[in-house]
Amino acid sequence: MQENIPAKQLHDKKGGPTLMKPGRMLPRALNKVLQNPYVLIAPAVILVSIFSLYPILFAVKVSFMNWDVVTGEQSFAGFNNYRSIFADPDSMQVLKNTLIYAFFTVCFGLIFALMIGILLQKSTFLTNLVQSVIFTPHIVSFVSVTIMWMWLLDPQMGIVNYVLKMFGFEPQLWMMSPKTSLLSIMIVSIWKGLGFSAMIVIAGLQSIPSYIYEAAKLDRSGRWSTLFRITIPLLSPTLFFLLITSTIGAFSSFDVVNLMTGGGPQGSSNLIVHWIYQIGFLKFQLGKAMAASVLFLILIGFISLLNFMFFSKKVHY
Amino acid sequence: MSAIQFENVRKTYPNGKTVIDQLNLEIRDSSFTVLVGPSGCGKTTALRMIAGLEDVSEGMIRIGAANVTKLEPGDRDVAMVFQNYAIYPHMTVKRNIEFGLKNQGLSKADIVRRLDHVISQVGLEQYANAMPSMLSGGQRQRIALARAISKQTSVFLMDEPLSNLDAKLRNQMRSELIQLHKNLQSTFVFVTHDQVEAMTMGTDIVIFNEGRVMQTGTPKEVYNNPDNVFVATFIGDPGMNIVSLRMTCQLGFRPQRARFTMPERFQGVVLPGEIMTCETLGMDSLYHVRTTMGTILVKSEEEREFGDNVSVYVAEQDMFFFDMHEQRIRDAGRILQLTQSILLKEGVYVAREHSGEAAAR
Repeated sequence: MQENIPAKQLHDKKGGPTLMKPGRMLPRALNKVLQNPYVLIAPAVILVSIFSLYPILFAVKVSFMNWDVVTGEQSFAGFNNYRSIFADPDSMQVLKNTLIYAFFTVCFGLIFALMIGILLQKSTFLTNLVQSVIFTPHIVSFVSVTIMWMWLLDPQMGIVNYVLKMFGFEPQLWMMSPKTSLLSIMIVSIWKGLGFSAMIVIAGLQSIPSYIYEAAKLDRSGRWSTLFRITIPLLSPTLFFLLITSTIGAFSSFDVVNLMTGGGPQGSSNLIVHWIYQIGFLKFQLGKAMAASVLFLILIGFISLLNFMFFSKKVHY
Repeated sequence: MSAIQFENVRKTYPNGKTVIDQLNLEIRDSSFTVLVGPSGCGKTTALRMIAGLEDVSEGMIRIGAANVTKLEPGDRDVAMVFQNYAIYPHMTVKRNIEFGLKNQGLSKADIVRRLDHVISQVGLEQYANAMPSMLSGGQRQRIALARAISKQTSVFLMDEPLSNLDAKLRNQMRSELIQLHKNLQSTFVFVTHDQVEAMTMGTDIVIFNEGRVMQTGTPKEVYNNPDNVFVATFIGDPGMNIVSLRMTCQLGFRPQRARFTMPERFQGVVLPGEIMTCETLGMDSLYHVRTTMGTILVKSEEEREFGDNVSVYVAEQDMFFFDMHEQRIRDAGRILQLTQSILLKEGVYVAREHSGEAAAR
C-alpha cells in the first residue's frame, strides 16, 4: 500500500491528465477507506468467521458443557465430556475402524487410480469410453450406489458371492458380519472414488511432455524404470494432491456408513463422524458429541501435518 | 563405420498423411550433416526415424553396416539433443546424465569418470548437483549436450537445438558444436530451418522440401551450384532473385552479385529500375528495386537513396537459368540462346563490352 503513489501526486503538477487515477473514479473519502488493507480482506474474514471460526469456537465451548437438547438445560461440565469419551469402549473401536478404513481406502484408492490412469492414458475411442464409464460412480449419488452394492453384496442372492462360489471360495456374509462389514464399506468407497482419482491421474499423466519419454527411450530406460524413475516422480504433485484430499475425505466419511451398515453389526463398521452423529443426534449428548468433534479436528490436523512432513519433500513441482 | 543410409524410406502417419516418400540418402561417416528446409518438410521426421522415435512405414535405415529399421532407440548407438532439451526436471544435472549411463549397465567407476569428463567439457562443474529449474536456457542446453556426449555414441542427432537460445548464445554454441564435432569425430546429424546455421556448421548439407531431398552437397556446392529454384532461393542471405523469362524459363542471380555501376569488362544484363526500400545492414545495404521484370533484391555496398533511378548490372557468369520444372539448365548452347532471348524483352538490354574496347576507352 505504501508503495502506491499517493492520489494527490497522480493528479499531476502540470495539470495534464494522467492515466488510471483511482481518485477520479471514486469519491476521495471512499478511495481513502479502500486504501486500508484490512478493509480489503474484510469480506473474506467476515465469511470465514461466520461459517468456520464461529462454529469451531462454539463447538469448543459446548464441549465443556452439559447441554440437554430436549429440556434445553445447560451447565458447565469441565472435562467430563472428554473424560467420558476416553472411558467409552466404543471410542477406541471407532478410532481403530477409522484408521484402518482411511489407510486402506487411501492406499488402494491411489494404487488403483494410478494403474487405471496408466492403462487409460492414451486417448483412443475405447479408452475415452472406459474413462467415462469409470467416472460415472463419482457423479451418481451415494444412495443409488449403496442400493446397488447392497444387491451385489447380498449374502443369498448377491452376484459377488455367486462369483466367489464359482471360483471355489467361501461365500461371505459381507455387511451382515462384524468380520467383513468394514471391508464392505471400504470396497464401496474405493469403487466410488476411483473414477475421480483416475481422472486426476490421467490429467497429471497427460501433462508430462512426450519428449521426456522419448529421452528416456534413448537412455535405454525400460518400462519399469520409466514408470518408477520418470512417470511417478513427475506425477508426484498430482499424487500428493490426491493423498491429502482423499485422506481428509476418508476420515470424514459418513454417508457410506450411514446408508450401508449404520455402523453395525456391533459397531464393527462405525467410523468417527458417524459415531459423533449418533452421540449428538440419536443420544442427544451434545456436549460429548462436540468434545468428540474437537478431538477429531485435532486428529485430522495431525494426520495432514504428518502427510506434509513425510511426503512434501518427495514431491517435485 | 557409422555412415547412415536411407533406402527407399517412406513415412506415412496414422492419419494417412505421407510426409516422406522414397527417401534415398547417405549421410557420410564422421560428417557434420545438416538437414535443412522449411517447417513441415520432413527433416525432423527423417531425424526421428534415425533415432527410432518414429516408425519407418517402408524401406530400410542402416547405421554403419547394421540394419536398424526395427531396433529400439536405445539399441541404435545414437544420442540425441532435443529442441526443448528434454531434461528430466526432477533430477539434478548429475542424475540427468547418469540415468542413461546406469541403464547401459556401466560400472560405477566408469560412470564417475565419464560424468566428470562431460560435465567439465560443457563447463557445468559448479552446477553438478543443481536442479535444472535453477539453471538458464543455455545451461540446460549444456546438460542435454553433456547427456548426449556421455554416451559416446557414433551418431549424434540434434533437433533444432539452438532455436531456443538468444542470438548471442546461439553464435557461441554454433562454434562450440563445430569444435565438439572435430573432437569427437562421430557422425553429427543436425536439423534446422535456418539456412545460416546450415551453411556455417555443416560439412554436408541436405536440403529438404515437401518430403523430398532437393539437393545434397557441401555448403559451397549448394550455394554456388544450385540444382533447382528451391535451393537457389532457400540458400543464401537473402536467396537468389528469380525472374520469369518468356518460354516459361526463369533467370536467377544472387543479390550480392548485382551492381549499380558497370564493372570493368562487363558482359551481361542491365535492368533499369527504381529503389523501393533500403535496409541498412552496416557494411552494405539491401535494396528492393522495381524493374520491368519485377521487384528484385540487390545487396550492395554502394549507397543509393529511396526513389533513385538505377541500372542493375548482372554479369553473364552470375546468371543461372531454370526450366519450366524449376530445374537448373546446364546445357551451354541453351544458356546462350536464353541470354540472347532476354534482349527481346522490353526495357532490358544486353551489354557486350569486349575487353579490347574497354581497354581502348
